[in-house]
Formats: sequence, structure tokens, C-alpha cells
Amino acid sequence: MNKFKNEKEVFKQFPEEWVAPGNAGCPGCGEVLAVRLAMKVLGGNTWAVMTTGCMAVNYTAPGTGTARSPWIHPLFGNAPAIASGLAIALKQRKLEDKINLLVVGGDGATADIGFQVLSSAIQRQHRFIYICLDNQGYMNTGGQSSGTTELHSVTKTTPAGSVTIPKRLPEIFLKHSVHYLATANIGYPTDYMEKVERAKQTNGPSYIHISTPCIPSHGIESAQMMNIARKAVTTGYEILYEMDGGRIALSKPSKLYIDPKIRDPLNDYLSSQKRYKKLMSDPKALYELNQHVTKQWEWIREEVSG
Amino acid sequence: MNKVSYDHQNENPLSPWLPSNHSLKNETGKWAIHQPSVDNAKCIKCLRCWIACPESAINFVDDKIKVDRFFCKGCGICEVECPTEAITMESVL
Amino acid sequence: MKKSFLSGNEAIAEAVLLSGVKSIAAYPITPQTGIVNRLATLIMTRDLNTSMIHAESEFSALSIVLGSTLGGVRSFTATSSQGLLMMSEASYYASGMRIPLVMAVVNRGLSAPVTIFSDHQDSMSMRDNGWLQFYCKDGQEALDTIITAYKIAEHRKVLLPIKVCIDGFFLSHLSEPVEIPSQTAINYFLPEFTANFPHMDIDDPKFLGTAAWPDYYEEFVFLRNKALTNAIAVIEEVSTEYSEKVSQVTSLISTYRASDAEVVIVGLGAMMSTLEVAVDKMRGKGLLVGLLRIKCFRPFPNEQILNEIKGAKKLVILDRSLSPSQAGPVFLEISSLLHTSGLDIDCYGFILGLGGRDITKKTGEFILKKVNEMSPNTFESRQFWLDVNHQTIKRWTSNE
Repeated sequence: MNKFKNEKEVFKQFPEEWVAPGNAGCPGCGEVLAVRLAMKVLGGNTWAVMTTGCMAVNYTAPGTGTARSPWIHPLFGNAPAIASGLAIALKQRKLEDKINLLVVGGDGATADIGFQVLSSAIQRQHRFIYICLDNQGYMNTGGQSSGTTELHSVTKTTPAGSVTIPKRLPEIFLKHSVHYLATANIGYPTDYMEKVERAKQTNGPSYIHISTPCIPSHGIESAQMMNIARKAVTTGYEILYEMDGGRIALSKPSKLYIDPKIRDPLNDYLSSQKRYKKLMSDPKALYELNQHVTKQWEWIREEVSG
Repeated sequence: MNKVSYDHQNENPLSPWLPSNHSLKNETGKWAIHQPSVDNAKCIKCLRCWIACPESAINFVDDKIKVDRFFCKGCGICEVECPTEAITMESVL
Repeated sequence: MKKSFLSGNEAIAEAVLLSGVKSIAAYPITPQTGIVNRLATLIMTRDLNTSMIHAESEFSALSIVLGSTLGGVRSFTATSSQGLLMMSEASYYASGMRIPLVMAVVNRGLSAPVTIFSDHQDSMSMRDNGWLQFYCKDGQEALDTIITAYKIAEHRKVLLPIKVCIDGFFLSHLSEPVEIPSQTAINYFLPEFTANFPHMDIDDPKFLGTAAWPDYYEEFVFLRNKALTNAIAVIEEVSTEYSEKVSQVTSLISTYRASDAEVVIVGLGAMMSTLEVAVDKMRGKGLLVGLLRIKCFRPFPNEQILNEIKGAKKLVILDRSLSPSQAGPVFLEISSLLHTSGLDIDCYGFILGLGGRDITKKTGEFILKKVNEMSPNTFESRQFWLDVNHQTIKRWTSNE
């Protein structure tokens, strides 16, 4: 879409800010940017549900209040169910084509406590967009491990490195009846916004999985947030792709890195963050992670060609 | 935060909620130890700083990049994203 | 008015559709399933555009109807026992957010042990969640109460969700003659739904569900507690209006031969209509016995109850649930009420009918027999297990 070919074009098409400044987020927070950009694309005719997490606190802590359109913070695990209810209300009131429905959840809300609820909400086929903000942990409570925490990475509850196999959420939701699915990375904002627009145009459930660095829990400098996010893509650790109506396509930022020889070494990404210290000092763990990266590229190559 | 949460409500809110735009009073600019200074001569108006600012504190007004110092938390992303080094973070202490 | 032969579950289904509910979400659990099955069939056969979602758990079921109410349509859910407990987190959110909703609870005992049969433990374990709570005595009352509940819940002085309870199997599956009011009569009584509480509104955007720190949390609870307490007046007002426009319905309590009774038996739900037969028999023998049935348990109708019992010498309070080690919930409420009333009445607290153990005509006579044998106002008489099987207990504890 031409609307997203560069930042200048995006500014022309989406000049309005649909989230008020003055939130309580850390300086440089990836999630804060992700929701700002999603709401730019969706606009004010949106009913949005925010799960418990950093963003709920960022938007509603005492002294804040960033809504410029209707928002609700329900309970930790039931955001997609609240959204199903809102979708019913929109349908009954004949507003379902006029108002977008957005649900925003962290990786904890999506992989763990709200997994069942989202899994079933998708079955109902209402038109809603679910954006999972993935920073691989429960950051609002200080940085505990979650269902997407990478193996061997250090969190407050896994100081010796996590030992549970992470859920690969986008691939799980590919097997649900979503009409549109995309993986995104905050380091590629125009690519992400284009995906939000595609989700907006979809007449059914959409799932967008965006990885967003967390300054305190990942152990990075705020100014480097975008750079470090991009390293996940340039090293091939994350693959940006879309599934639209059953067809999978590699996204432009990841197309460059199909050839493993072009990719930056995985250590570039791992060494940029304190949370991977244990992983980096464990040759077996590094080997396994490299194997995982290789396997997922094999998988996407098959999906795209098949 | 020592800010009280419902002082702005003058009638029974019934349930807990915040009105729209309430955060416009929240001067997050006070958090910053440095904020961006823009060299317009170097600026190529690519708007990568505008898109990357989590706080929407970088605006493009009258064909120029303008920094909203009331809200800028001083994260420094804009300085790193700028391809022509037109932005420099300067101390505000 | 149309006279039909309906079970309690079927009567509730009729009431839900008469109330103009547009969004239903539920999860199957015995003995509630009849309500949802019946609703699904009626929606199909009557070609209604009421939405039904078959949720994947009760936590989601309640959340879905909270969402649809916040989105501006009248909604309904139903559950029992384990399902009600699973909804507990969301149920506190519902009352805290002042969301008007009606939920049918088909009472069933709680696991463990597993039971599908009725007692009041499920609803009593949730009695503090800020919802109004009614216990119906028959299918007719269930039907009328569901409809009045919507008007009460949506009243600007209340704006709280409501549980309407019926005894599992004893009421849910028992068919009786029920008069179904006409849609015209109900339309005259119950207006269209308008969201007069903070909700999702493009024209008035808010961020709902925010935190409240120690400087304000208590005031939110204070005001909704006040609303729950003041709901007594609204319940009376709405019930009177329904009785005038549609048909007679009990508002808060009902009595049976209690005005001159020396012994008043107090309780909730279906067992009270069974005990009417027992009361008649005992009256025939010259005993001055009467019944006080509490329909509205939350808010607790203190004044109304006091009025009916002030002439009694003895109160026998029956509880089909308990607060472990202490006494049953109804007993705890009544003794707290008496404590502030200055009245001097002998009290007995009986635990009975747990896990579906039946209460029969004979139970009434047995109650009086025990009352004559026991001293009132003791720790023993406060939590007396009326129908526990002592032989089983002896067999199981013979080694101890």
C-alpha cells in the first residue's frame, strides 16, 4: 500500500494522534510506541480493550488518562471475552461496520492467563484485531518469566535461565480460524502500521504479534530500543511475515535475510541485552537456538512456496 | 506517584474511569535529563524521529520538526533514528 | 396471560425472552442446562435475533455478557455451583463497575465431593460480591423475578447486577402451572435498555476500569454498598409496579401463618413451600407455627423481617449451606439483626438439606421435635445438623 511506503507518506495519511501524551510508561518503551501507532491507523471510531499489564498502568495510572476514544481495562485474562461481548453489542446495534474492535494484550495475557479466552474468541469470527505486545515476560510486575520467554533467558523468576519451551504464538494462531495474521517488530514501524491497516480491512478476527523491547527487563539503553528491536530481524531470530486468507507471504524487512549468509550473527542480537547473558555463556543453548532459527526459516520457506 | 486519582470528579462517577485527554496535564517532560535539539539545516524531513517517538512529542509543524518539551521524556531514540545527525540530546538540568 | 406447564428452567427461559434480552452467553452445567437449551430452541423457533454465545468457560460467559452490557444491550447468563465460583473474579468486576445484569443461578452444592443436587452453598459462597441476591420458591416467582430484576438492576439508584436463584432439580426440573405474561404487558412495564452507567460510547470516550489508590478506593465501595442497601426501596417499588401492571410478585419476604405464630421457621427457596404443608399439619395439632421465607437475601431486608418476627417466641433458622465451624449464613444474618433490635427471641440454627438431601413434610415435624428437646441460644443449637446420618458418622469414626 502506498500509504506506508515511507514515514513521510504515513505522516500525510495518519497525522492525528489517537492516544494522548502524558502516559506513565518508561522512556523509550516499545509497547507505548506500538499502541500509539496502532491507534493512528485505527482512528477514533474504535472500541479498545486493554489487558492488565504495563500498558494498562501506563494509560490509567493516577494523573494519566490517555484515552481519546473508548477504552476499557477489564481483568487480566478476559479481554477477548469482553471484546466478544462488545462485538455482539455492535452487531445488535448495527454498528459493526462503523466501529473497529481492538484488543491489546502482552505476551503473558496472550500465552498464559488469557490464552483459552483468545483461542475461543477467534472461533466466533467477529471482526476484531488482537495485538500481542511481546517482550517475553511479565514486565509490569517487575520482569517475571512468561509463556513466551526464550529458553535460557534470565528473568526475575528464572535467574539461572528459563527452562520451559516457549510457546510460538503466531504459529499457534495460524492454526486458529483467524482471517489475517502478521508478525511485526517495533523497529520496522511502517511495516507494522501497514499490517494494522490490513487487519482493519479484514472482515473477521486478526492477530498481530509485535515484538517490543523492554528497557529495564531486557537490560538495554532507552535510546537503543529501535536498533535492538531491529537486530532480532537482521539476525533472523524473528521472521516478519503475513498470512492473509490462508496465503503466507514474507514481509519486506525479512526478505533481505532469507540467505543465512546475509544475516548478522545471532550473537549481535543476544549480546545487546543483559537477559541473554546465561544463554551466551552456554554453548549447547546457543547451538539449540541456532537450530531453532534454522528450522523456522525452513518452515517459512515451505509455507511461502507451498 | 503522589498524584491523587479522582480529584477531577465532581459528581458520583459510579465506576472507576478516567475522562479522555486527562493525561494532557501530566508533564512527563519533567522526567527528562536531556531533550532533543534539532538542527534544521541538517534535517531532511524524513520523519523517522516523528514515527519513532513513543510519546508523540516530536511533531512536524510548518514544515519543521518541533519538540514538545512538556511531554518529552528524554529517551534519546530520535537522536539514534536520525539519519543525518540533525538531532542532539542536550541536558535540561 | 398464557397458562403453561413449565419447569423452573423453562419459566426462566420465557422470562429472559420477554425481558428483551439481546445477548446471552453461557457454559453448560447441570442443572442449569435446561435454561440455555430452551433459550436456543425458542430463539430458533420464534426466529428471534437474540445472540447466543456458547462460551468456553463460565469466566468467559460472564465476561461476554459484561462486554455486551457495556456495549449497550441487555444481557443474560446462567450457571450453577462450580460455574458460579469460576465467575467469581469477573463477578466482583461486574458490581465494582456498576454493570446492570441478571444471572440465573440454579443452586447446586459445591465439589468436593462432586454433587449435582441442590443446596445453597454456591450462591452463599458468593454473597459478598456486591450483587443483589434472590431465592425463588417456584417457577412462577422465578419468571416474575427475572423480569423485575432487569428493572431493578437498571434503576439509576441501583445499577448493580442481580443473581436470581432457584433450587437445582427441586425447582429447575419440576414442572408446575406457570402463567406467562404477554409481551405487551411486559413492554408496558420494562422500558428499552439504555446504558445509564459508564459504558463504551464513541461520543463520550472514557477509559473504563481504572485503578483507585488508597485515597479513593474506599469511597467507591462505600457508594456501591449504599446503592445495594438502598435497593430495598427500589425492589419494593418495582415489585409493586409489576404487581399492578402484570401479576402479583413478592418483593422481599413472604410469610405463611406467621402473624400469630409462637415458633417461626425461617428459610430460603423451594423447601419453604414444602414446609407450608407441614405447618398446616402442626397447626391442626394446635401448635402455633408459621413460616418466614426470605426471598431477597442481598440486600438483607432487616426492617421487613423484624416486623414479622417481633411477636415470635422462638425462631428456627434453616440453612442449606454453612459458614464452616460457625453457623449457616441465614442464621448469622438473623442473629446479627436481633443483636441490634433489642428483641429477646430464642434462636435455633439448623443445617440441613446439603447436597440435595430432601426436605419433606416430615422434616417440619422433626424440626419442632428437636426444638422442644434443645436449649436455644447455645453453641450447639446455633449449628445443629438436623438431618445428618449419625449411623454413617459412627461407622466412619469408630476408630477415632
